[in-house]
Amino acid sequence: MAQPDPALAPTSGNKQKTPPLAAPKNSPLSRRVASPFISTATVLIVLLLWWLATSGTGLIPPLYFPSPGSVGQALIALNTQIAADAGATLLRVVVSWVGGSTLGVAVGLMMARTWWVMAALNPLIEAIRPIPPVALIPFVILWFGIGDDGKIFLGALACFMVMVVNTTVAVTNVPPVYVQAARSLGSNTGFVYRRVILPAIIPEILSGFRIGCALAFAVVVAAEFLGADLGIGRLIMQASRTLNTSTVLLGTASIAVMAVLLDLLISRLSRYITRWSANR
Amino acid sequence: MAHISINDVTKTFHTARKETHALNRASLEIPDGEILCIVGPSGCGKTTLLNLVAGFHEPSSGFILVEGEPVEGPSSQRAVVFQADAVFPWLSVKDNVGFGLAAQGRNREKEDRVNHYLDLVGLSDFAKTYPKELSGGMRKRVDLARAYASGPEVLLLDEPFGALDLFTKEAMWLALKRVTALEPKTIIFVTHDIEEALFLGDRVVVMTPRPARIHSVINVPFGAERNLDLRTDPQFQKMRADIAHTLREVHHGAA
Repeated sequence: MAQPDPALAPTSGNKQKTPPLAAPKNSPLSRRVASPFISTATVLIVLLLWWLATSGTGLIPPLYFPSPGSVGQALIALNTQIAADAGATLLRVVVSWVGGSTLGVAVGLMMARTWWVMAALNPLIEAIRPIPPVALIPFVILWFGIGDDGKIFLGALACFMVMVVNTTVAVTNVPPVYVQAARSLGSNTGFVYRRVILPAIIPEILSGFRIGCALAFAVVVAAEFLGADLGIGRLIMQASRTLNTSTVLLGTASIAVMAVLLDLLISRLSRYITRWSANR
Repeated sequence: MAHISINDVTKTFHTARKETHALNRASLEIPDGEILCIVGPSGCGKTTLLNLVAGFHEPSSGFILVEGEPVEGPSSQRAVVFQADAVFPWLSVKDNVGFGLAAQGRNREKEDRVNHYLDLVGLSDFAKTYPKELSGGMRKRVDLARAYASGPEVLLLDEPFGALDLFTKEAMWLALKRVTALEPKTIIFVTHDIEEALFLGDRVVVMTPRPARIHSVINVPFGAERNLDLRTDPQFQKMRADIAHTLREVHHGAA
């Protein structure tokens, strides 16, 4: 693979840009109509090429890359098991992602607001931030066992780090004139943070939230590889031991489907929340 | 309304490399309800003086009294309108205008006051609009309404119309005149536009850089009722030329 595994990359990811929406709201009508057709066509063409290269022509042996038919068979064979595994992974991702991100924003705001909190926490965060969360898996299994807790902890840690950095940077980017205006209109410090700083950094928080979602998937699935009773990572690992590549591919595809649906939900939500923003 | 008293105020900024004397020994008495305009080139200390009255900075020496009370930090008693766009983009026009009242916990009177000031600046039809859909001049009117609605005694304007084109600027002058005629406030208006200062001010303070200080204070004799044609009045033209001359002289002398 050309791209580095996100699970092995440092958790910072701060300058990673979220992918643009396929059709921004302000693009011409013709583009907005055509855009979903083109996107759907791409997906269909890739599926067709997949079928052609595997079942259609037999160009790629089934062991190296299974055909759509065999993935379908794997799905039927696994039946409710895949739903249970996917559900377990999704639950861990959502809990760790929402929890870690919320905590990250809260701590980031505290650091930005109070100088000694910044001085106290900054060295810790800067030291832990470059550590790939997956490097901590041995410890996490030791501390939490192979249940939900350890995976949620790791995913939350990854999201926390992204959000802390994102929030502190975003706060320093708020135009000082907003704060001065708020003060001269009679706001106390708490009101300035709740009603000026927080709304002003919402766009940055949402983009960090989106990066965190992908990161939580990567970290949780990686943790499941190394020990889990349930989850897509466990499913893939177990299938790979018997060279059952159809199930491996099925597991991978189910991660993609969940991640894409979640990302779609976030981008819809953020578009609504930041409808006031001039570049929406 | 409030009386402002600026007494021998000096402001020096210290950075690692050097000290900057941003304002030297300024003294001014501004009576209740006066519109005082401050003109001068950049670096003359006019914005520093305004920020000191606003409470964003503390004087290095000297003191400032508003209604006999020393200025200690920003307060809703002194609203500021900046040159930069300070309208909150995440709030509707209505919520922007009501921001000061919400901050002060005056929610009961909010609705009425917001509607009153929106009407006064002619933006009633845009109450629920987000600022991104407004023009620069409309946003400035939101800013002005927001400052007025928060119920200050003093209004501090820091080149508020500096970024607007001439026609919008003229419309804003008239809007400001209309609002101040209905509800007089003590106003300090900082600008680098001499015409703007003479058109709006009861008095004009001329400031010069190097050292940044008050050069002279000029009484503007045109009364309260002014229209845009006043600018062609010979006396207006003469005063304008005199101020421009003074500023050019000090500029050359310093450079």
